[in-house]
Amino acid sequence: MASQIARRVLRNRSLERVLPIRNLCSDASSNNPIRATLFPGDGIGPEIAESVKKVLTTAEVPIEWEEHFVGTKVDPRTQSFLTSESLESVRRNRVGLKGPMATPIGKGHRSLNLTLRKELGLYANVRPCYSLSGYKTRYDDVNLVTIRENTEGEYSGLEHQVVRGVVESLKIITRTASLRVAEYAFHYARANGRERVSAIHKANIMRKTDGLFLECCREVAAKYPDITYEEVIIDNCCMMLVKNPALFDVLVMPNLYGDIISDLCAGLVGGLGLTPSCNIGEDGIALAEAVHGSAPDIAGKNLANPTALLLSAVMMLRHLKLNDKAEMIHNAITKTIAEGKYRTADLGGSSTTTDFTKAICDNL
Amino acid sequence: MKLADGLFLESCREVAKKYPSINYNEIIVDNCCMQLVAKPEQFDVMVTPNLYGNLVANTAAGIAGGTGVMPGGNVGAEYAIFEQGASAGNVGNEKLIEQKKANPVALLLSSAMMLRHLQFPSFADRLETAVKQVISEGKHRTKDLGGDSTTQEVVDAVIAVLD
Repeated sequence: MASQIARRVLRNRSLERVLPIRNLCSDASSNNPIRATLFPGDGIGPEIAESVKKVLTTAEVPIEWEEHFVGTKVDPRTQSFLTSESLESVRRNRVGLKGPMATPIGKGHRSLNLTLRKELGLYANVRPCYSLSGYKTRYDDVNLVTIRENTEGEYSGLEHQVVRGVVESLKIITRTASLRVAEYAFHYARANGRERVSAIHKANIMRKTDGLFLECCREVAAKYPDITYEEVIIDNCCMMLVKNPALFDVLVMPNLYGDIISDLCAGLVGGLGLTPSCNIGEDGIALAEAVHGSAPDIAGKNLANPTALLLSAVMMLRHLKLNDKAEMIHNAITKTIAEGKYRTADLGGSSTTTDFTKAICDNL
Repeated sequence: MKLADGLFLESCREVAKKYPSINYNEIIVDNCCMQLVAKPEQFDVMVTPNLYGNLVANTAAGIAGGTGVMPGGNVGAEYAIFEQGASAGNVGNEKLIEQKKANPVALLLSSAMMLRHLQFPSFADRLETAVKQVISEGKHRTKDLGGDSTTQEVVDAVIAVLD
């Protein structure tokens, strides 16, 4: 039984080598704009997508958006409400931005996020987490990045009932996936001037799975002697994050721990409404996304906070090496929030989405 | 993890039905950690499977002051063993042992839990009140709570306020 499962897992996994991340925009300009796919999403998605478009246009970022919406019928080619044209668009443009998507209830289709992840081979979820000056939480010195392996681990979807009342769930860790995410973590650390990568694990209990993950991290660490590498047990990590988050720099983790820790870190700095996120796929594909929900109760009321999507767009720009524009927009956002005059309801203010967006544009 | 955690939830729901006066709700573990960090006061009693419990307990301990203050107990069908609630970070810390600066609060409060388990609530109350008083007075605190008292100094202070 175990060998059948192993064969199935290995067959599904693409065993391509990790290609070097190509420089997508060595000569981008307004005459030669970069094409990026935009999924506004549902609920508040379209409004905050408008904000992003407005801010990026005002900042004169050379991007041309290809907008795709989630359909209302299941596309048989993708078994999902996302059409195969939408997926082709991301594959072609190699970069995209996604708003919140509510998975429609019902059977007969895959969840939208799962579709994107599988079809585009998105293997790493990257979330920078830093305290926003001007938005006070109990922690003001958070400055870390969580990098989560997003294709396997405890979320391999392999569960079965042994007998009634006893269920088994399989956690799969492979060398390929672990090496791949570790490579990305160290590459990211170097490219962004970070000094330390911490691998989070529970290898004292799960010796083979987390043990393999650690082995792979160590192999990659050896190739980056300029970056400090350490290993931290997950329960220690939770405690340290809550007592002194400044201790961490870049964290790399398997799927489940990554899920929990990245949300915990979002809580440290103010919640999902302020959290940017970017998914990295094979061949240098990057899909930045806002990880909050679609908030149907405030949709269309001009109340939504576009910060998460804006900060995710900034991540996208950095991935495209448009660092000046990224810096400019990032500073405008933090300045606007720090000034405190224009804040949306979730940050304790009473501004509308459009007022907040205008304030950011003015601060550019 | 629909089957595994699904079975856990089904079981919790079955038991919850037998206690209608107690509120029961379910929360996904990643959302839970985020809420714990932002607004821990919304939680009361949390029941979890093994791994999540480890993470949640350590997170909660960190919020409440660290491994040095959080009590705990392990309960079985026939026996119960009480020990500090979270172990991250200070088990086997050589420096703490040499300098005799380990925080005794967690084990003292665990002892109080044991007394309650043995149905000696008045002893448990006296011990807990004394410990809490010493901490709130702030004059005798070990390093992890921001002071520099030794273990013995804290213990002596607790004994002194025991009524």
